[in-house]
Parts: sequence; C-alpha cells; structure tokens
Amino acid sequence: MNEEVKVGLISCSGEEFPEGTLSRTAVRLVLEKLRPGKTVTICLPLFLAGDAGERDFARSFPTIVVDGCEKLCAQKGTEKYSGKVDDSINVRELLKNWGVKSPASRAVLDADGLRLAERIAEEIALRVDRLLEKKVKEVSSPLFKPSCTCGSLPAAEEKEEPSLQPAFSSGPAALSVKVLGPGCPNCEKLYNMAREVIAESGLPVSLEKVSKMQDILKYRILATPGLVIGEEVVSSGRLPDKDDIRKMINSALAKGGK
Amino acid sequence: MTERKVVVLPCSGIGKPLGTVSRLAAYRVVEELRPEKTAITCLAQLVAEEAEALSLVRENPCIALDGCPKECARRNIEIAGGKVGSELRVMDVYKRYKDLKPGTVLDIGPGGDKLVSVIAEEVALEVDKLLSC
Repeated sequence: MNEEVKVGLISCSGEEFPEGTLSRTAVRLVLEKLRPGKTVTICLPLFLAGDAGERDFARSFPTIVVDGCEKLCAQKGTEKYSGKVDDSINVRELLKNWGVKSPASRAVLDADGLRLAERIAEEIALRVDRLLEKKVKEVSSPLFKPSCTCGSLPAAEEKEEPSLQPAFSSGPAALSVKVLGPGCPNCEKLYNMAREVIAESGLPVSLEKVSKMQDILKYRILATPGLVIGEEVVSSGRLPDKDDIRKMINSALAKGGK
Repeated sequence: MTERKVVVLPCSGIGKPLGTVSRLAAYRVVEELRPEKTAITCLAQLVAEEAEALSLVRENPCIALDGCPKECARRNIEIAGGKVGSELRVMDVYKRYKDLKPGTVLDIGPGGDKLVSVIAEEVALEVDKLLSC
C-alpha cells in the first residue's frame, strides 16, 4: 500500500438536522478510530472562508463527501469550490435504506445514535478502502501521470532538460530537499518558496528540482507539486506556505537529516 | 419566518474541540435558553447557496460562533450577504476560562461542557441585545 495516498473526507456537519450530527460524528470516528493515518478532513466552510491552499483539498486528495440530507451541501460546495468528488454518502438516504429512524436529538447523540454513527462510519471506511485500492492501482499503472493542483495537464512530451537540477545549496548539505513538478506555475512557486526558506535560514540543505515524469513517478504521488525532504514525501498536491516548509525542514534536520 | 429572530450560527469546526464547543453552545441557546427568539441553520447551506438559508441570514440579525481564527461562521455569513450583529470567538472565551479545557472533538468532557454553558449564557445576552435594538 502506498502510504502517501490518503482519502479526504468532508462532512456537511449540518446544524439543522440530526443527520448533520451523524455525518460529523461518523467522519470523526473514521478519522480517529477506523482509518487513522489513511484519511484527512477539512471544514467545509473553509472553502469560502479560507485560501487557495484550502480550496486545493479535493484536487489533492481523492475525496468522499458525507452529507446529512438531500440538499447535498457538502457535495455541492466541494464541487463548486474545490474539485471533483470521488464518492458520496447521503446519511438520510442510507438510514432509509437500512430502515432505521434518525436520532431524536441533533445536539447530542444517545446510545442508539452513537451506534448508528458507528454503523455509518463502517460504511465510510469501506468506501475509503475501495477508493484507496483504486487510487493505488492508478498510481502504480505505467500510464499514470499525476495531475497538478494548478490545473495544468501533465505534459505530453518530456522536457529535454535534465530531470534533476541541483539549483541551490547553502553549503555542505546535511539534508536534501526536492521539489517534484513538471514545471507548471504551482511547481515553480513551491520551488521558489523552498529556495527562499533555505536562503533565509542558511540551513545546510541542498535543493533540487525534479521535473521528468519518470523520476516524479518514483515517489508515487497523486498530484504535483510534491515536496520531498530527506527522501520522504512530506507534501503533495498542495502548496505549503513558507512557515510549513521551514518547520518540515527543521524537523527533518532535528531527526538527523539525510 | 415572520417574526424577527436572531440566527445563531456556529462554525462546527470538525478539526478541533472548540468547533464542537461552538456547535453545542449554539444548540444550548436555540433549544434551551432562547428557543422563541432564535433560529439555526446549517452553515453548509450557505456554502451551497441554499435559497432558504440565504434568506434567513439576510433578513435577520446573526451571531457567529467561531472556534478558530479562520472565522468561518462570520465570513460565510458575510459572503452570503447577511449581517453579523455579533461575533463570539470561542477561543477568546476559553482564554478567559483556561481551567475549562475541552477534551476531544467527539467528547469535549466536563471542562468543555462548562465552557459550552459559559458561552451559551453570553450568546443569550447578545440575542437579547440584538432584539432590543
């Protein structure tokens, strides 16, 4: 299993109905208990209140939305502001299919409500496994090319330039940092930010740009840009900010670097 | 809705316990402290631009309850064209009551429960103020 592929879960968390509370509770159960380490989440309202990095979510992770009712707010909001949804669950419809009633309280789930949330969580976890299996197969395919968060398609032809460009180093390197990307705007942006962080901090770090698709594929990421620190993929399909990059580099150096 | 009410909108942030605190405080106000004077809708409905939710926040004063500095509740109300009559930042209240530390997102624990009560009381007073204007 490719450890880098994680599934994004977005709950509507609807406040008006008990099914919103069920969707939220079930998603947390998957994140914390059923599939920790394999799933990530984001608050749906952040697509409007947040920044471009947050709106990259569904382009960065294969995503399952969990809606409480037929209004499908999580699905609509995600597709409008972030990206394609890979799978969806409508809790109200699920309960109808199971022939069970919604909990009476929307504020706090009683024992029956909690059991229902656990059952919904099991259903979400199954969908997570299915989606992970599909995505890992895609990534392993020789035909797979990661897409970029800037929306550009993978280049049809490889650039002739060398794939590894040792472009910058602040001195003898204790740690290697690589930016994976075919050369689109977001990949360039990440490379420039990493370069600035290293230059500003004077850390003993080398920086390379990996632009050839066959070399990028070795890191098995679903989307570019990717950031590799000490040969470990620390970010893919999103643009971390300079503070994040600095923290990730410092953390790798503290562990001994490579 | 013919009678003017105050719409209480929590962020319900799913990543942090203070998001749960905001959600439970909103329910406490809407269901127990000021049921006749308040309404609640799904923040997600504003994101999805559901007509009924948009009308509700445009035609009534709103109180935003935010769990983190991203202020999703306030910002989404404003983007929807609603008027934020009052905003209560849960983390600011928590700073005043450091002993009321909430547990986890799924179980905020006794400290979180007390924090919910404190916040709900403050929101209820804001409801009264907004309706007396």
